[in-house]
Amino acid sequence: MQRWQVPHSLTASSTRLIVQRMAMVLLVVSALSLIAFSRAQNETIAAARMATLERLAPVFSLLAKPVESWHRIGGWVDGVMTAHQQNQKLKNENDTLRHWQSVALALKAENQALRELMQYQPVSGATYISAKVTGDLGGPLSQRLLVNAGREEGVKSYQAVVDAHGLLGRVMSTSPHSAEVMLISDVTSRIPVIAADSRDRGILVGRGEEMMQLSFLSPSHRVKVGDMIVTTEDGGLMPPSIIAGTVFSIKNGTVWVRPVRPVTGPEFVRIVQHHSH
Amino acid sequence: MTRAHYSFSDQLRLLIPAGLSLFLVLLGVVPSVVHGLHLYPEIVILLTCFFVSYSPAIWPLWFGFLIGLLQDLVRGTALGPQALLVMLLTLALRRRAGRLNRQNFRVLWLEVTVMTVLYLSALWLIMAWVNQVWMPIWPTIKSMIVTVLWYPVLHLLLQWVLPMLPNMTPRK
Repeated sequence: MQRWQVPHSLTASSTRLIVQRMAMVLLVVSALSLIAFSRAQNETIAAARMATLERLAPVFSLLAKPVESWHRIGGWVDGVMTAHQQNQKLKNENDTLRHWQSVALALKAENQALRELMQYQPVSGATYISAKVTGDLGGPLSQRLLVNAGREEGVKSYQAVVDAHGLLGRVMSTSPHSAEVMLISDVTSRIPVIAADSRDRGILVGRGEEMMQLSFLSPSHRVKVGDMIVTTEDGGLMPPSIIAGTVFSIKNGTVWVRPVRPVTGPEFVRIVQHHSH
Repeated sequence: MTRAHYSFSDQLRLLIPAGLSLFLVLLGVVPSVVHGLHLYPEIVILLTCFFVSYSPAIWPLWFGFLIGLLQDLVRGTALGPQALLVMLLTLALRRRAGRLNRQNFRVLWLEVTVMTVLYLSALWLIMAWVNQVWMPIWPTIKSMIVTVLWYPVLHLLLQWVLPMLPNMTPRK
């Protein structure tokens, strides 16, 4: 009986080739599975993602140090160069603020009196958690931030995130000491809002760019260019009256809203703990 | 040719592309004015194109998967799409690597342009499927332009790295 003798080198190379092919198939299947799980918004995947980001946060902070130093030096040089102009500008702003302070105090007193008259019960209260932005997770297809406050600090999913200028986004996922924030400009962001003047309600839809779209308005809405858009309590997720932007243009029935300032690049944020009654 | 053919020092030097890639991917997450303006390129595409074109051996498929996964993680996209696309990009470039190595810079840049457009278009489609919403195309086009324009700079910088890498011919 004739026996086939397979050269050792040929067997080894064939085996290696088979192993390589199998490894390749395994990697492709793993990637496809991850995509499928992401589409299904699998919680285990989201938790693993947040845990990894939290472990990477110190690396992000370390890499950010030269950039922060550069910004500090730039800010100092800029401050020295424009000190006189800034001083003048601050004096003018101070005068304006004094005027508005007296107006605000008068309105507060009037508001208080009216509330007592109407026996008004406040509908909500809010406390804030301050956090530093440790990572900019944005790209062409998503706008997200990583901040250094998490579950241990009281941060929960869907809480609103603001800075000095208004609404930035909301918390999407948390780990013990980090949270991922989806900016209002993200394409998957949907925020219930109301026009401050006309009181028309709608949904602020992120478009992946600076401009956002105000959708689901009533056909007879009275929103006009320049109107302030603020959050509402509809749905119970957002605290009311946080500025989300102003109406920039209305073209072919589409209402475009621009944030008060670009939502990318904040250094510190505040996470709103909304207490509904 | 396998890694077993290399000496220990050569194997250490093989870690340079991996270390550099990790550093550049993580650098994209640093909050800065530049990144706020989205002027940071899709660095993984450029690194894959460069290293696979010059020497496929220093960019194994499993490393493409891992660096793609890291890019998914730090770019806020769903996990998986970039891991898959970097592997496909690596496989596509490997088929042409021998020829690309002998091409001039302009041809390489053209190759990078084509690969960037295909990669980001595929990513855009996958993300639309994952998010179940059609995403605006303009940020992706902007990212394509930024990435393609960054390639000459990265190419020039990585020329300094090439001499540090071990000789890619197998040791006798």
